[in-house]
Amino acid sequence: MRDGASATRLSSAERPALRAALEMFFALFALDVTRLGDSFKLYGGEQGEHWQVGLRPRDGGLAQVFEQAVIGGARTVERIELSSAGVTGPRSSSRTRKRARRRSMRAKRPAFASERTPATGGRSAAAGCGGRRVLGWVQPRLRVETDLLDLLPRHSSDQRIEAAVDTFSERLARKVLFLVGAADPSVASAAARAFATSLSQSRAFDSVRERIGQDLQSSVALYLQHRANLLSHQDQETLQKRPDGLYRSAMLALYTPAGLMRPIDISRDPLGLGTDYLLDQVPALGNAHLQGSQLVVRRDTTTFVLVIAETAGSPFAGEVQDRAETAIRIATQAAHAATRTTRSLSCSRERSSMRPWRRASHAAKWRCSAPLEPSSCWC
Amino acid sequence: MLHTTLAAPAAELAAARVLTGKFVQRRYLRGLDRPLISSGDFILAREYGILWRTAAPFPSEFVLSTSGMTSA
Repeated sequence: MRDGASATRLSSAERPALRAALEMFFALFALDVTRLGDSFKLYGGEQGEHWQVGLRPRDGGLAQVFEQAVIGGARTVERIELSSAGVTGPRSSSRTRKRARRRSMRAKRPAFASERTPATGGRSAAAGCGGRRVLGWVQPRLRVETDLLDLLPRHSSDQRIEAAVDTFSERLARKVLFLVGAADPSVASAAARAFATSLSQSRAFDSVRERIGQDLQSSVALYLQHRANLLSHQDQETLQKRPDGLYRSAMLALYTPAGLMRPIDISRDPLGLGTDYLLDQVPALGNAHLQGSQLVVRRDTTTFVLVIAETAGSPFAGEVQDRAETAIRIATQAAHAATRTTRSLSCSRERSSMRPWRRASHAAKWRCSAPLEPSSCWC
Repeated sequence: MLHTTLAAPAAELAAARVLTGKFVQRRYLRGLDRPLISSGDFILAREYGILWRTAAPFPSEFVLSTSGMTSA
């Protein structure tokens, strides 16, 4: 978030992608080929003592942020080029000359040289004499109403709101969260992938996601259509208290790696207003963090991978529930088969915590017990 | 083959707990013929994170650590 004065701060607890970005930076700068190979396809060559390695993201989620990275050097790393997605040609390259040595971190905070005076806010100048005279005559007859919904006929506005709330509530009620867990993170990852694939092939669920960022671009496109009407609370405050803070943040995004953390590229969203609004919509994820492109939670010795699905139809219909139960049972078996292990694999599911209040009294307790061999599964 | 080539520099970098260096960043944007260029130095400390200090065209700091990101 912007503090309106001089800094942009984002917490890893709220934005697990930051932790993944940090790990990627470490891997790039330390030339950790093993770790890079987990997330990227590596290619490259050498000429004399000089070498060059190219990296392309393995999964779609990472590819939506980074198109490719190139590391070059001789005895040590001399050049790193990061190309963000969405624009042809290289976008951001960092030519580095590094030397490895122990050194204490000295945090010297330089003053920012603002190159722009604060924009003048407030209302426009007063109208001319003629205008005031007209207003003085008309004003007693004017009725000012700022709530546009109040301008609609009472029953009409209620119906629209009711319909919108119903649509929204129904969509939320259809969401089901699954946690697929195993002691070995790689087993949990593979099991979650198999589980999600099986669910998506069933007719019981419309939308199944096990990787973050699968639909990032479609979400961005949706919000960008309405960008003129969307402003995050932080940006509202910044505009009111210190409007040049937006300019400062935009400059930092252009000239530092901070711009690489934005889901919307700078050429489409130079002030970052769309990015800030989009990030506002993402709830804090607590202990969850990104492992590759999967969202995982660790508890004790078990790693759980989150799978999000939506039922095909109302979750309150018995027929939909029956289909879902069958699909979940088959998906759990698929997860076991994919991992080919006898280690304990568990899955659990929770209905969306944002269950519509209106239907809370009708909400079914959707729990079952489905012991599986050779390992146990509770759901 | 590639792994063999990279083994020596990777081993040297892996042994270092702190890496420092200078950078020149070129940022290419759609609609601009020339890149936006910035330069400065960086410190990468394994236990802490990355401090990216830009000197030109204006001084700024970017910190990416396990607890989050700050740019000022």
